[in-house]
Amino acid sequence: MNTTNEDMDRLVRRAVKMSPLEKPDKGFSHSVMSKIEGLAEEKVIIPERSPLISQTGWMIIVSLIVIAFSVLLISGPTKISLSYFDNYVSLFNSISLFNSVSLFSNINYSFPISVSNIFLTGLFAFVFFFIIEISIITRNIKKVNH
Amino acid sequence: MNTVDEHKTIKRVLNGDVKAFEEIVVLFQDMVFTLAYRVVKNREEAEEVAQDVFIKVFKSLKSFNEKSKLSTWIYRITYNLSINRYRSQKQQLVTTKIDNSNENKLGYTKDALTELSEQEKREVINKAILRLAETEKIIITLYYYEDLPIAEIAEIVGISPQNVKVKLFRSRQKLHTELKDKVGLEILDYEYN
Repeated sequence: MNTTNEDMDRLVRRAVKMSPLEKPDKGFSHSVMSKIEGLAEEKVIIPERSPLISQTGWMIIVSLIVIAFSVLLISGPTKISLSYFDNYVSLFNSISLFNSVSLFSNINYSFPISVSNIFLTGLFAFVFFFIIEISIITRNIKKVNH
Repeated sequence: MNTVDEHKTIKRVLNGDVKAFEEIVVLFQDMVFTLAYRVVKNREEAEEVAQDVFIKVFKSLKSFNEKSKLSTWIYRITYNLSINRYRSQKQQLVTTKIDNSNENKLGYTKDALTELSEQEKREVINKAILRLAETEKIIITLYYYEDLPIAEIAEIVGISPQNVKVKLFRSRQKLHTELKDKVGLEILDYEYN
């Protein structure tokens, strides 16, 4: 008698289902879970690292630098004298309140040193970014401690 | 567990409820262990493979594509890890011949039903399945135990649905030829009807 594919399928299905699924040892799920829990704890210990300065922050910093350099290039290599601070001094002196104080009126404010535009801008930029950096680091340290 | 429940459980695990993963382990452990055992043919190694499967599932749960079925994904991992273990096993050991001593003692020329107890029949069937090629064992197990469609089995073992059909047909023929005399498949069929 020739057995058709359908008959064969039915007969094999019955035979295969007679043999049940294999079962692991009783403590299997417990041992898997203890390993999984160990893994999960490891995951918690490793803090997620985020950059101190975000992508947007870097974009702003880079564009500020580019702007600063462009301004310097356009303005040319001229030197300025720090004696322009004298203008502020004379402004102080022109105010009657300061004029009445002999200490202010008698002091001669003159700056004999002259520095380049680049040096001055660099110095201001350094101070500016230093303040930003300190504030970002402080904020991040506070966040981590919380 | 239906697909909605599966996704709820996965979300719970991803939100830090590690205990929820036990539901997945309990649900799939028998099938994962059976697939691994049928490929590596050793209980200790099959348990190791099954454990590795669940650890890998846990580690990559974030990358699980919610559009696919959790079972399909888990069985694919099981298949890959079992085959890898089997290949490294093959390099280390000479393939152990499956013990046929019981079958020889029993003498299948007589009426199979009167000669073999239920337990013995199960052993004969199990051994016949173990004699199939690695991919065929997986296909037979997923097709007859899990009633998975051909397309899903193809996704698990990484071959085309047409190829799965061919392998299924061949392994079905092999099992039929081997078991019809030993366990009396026709009588078995009559018994169930």
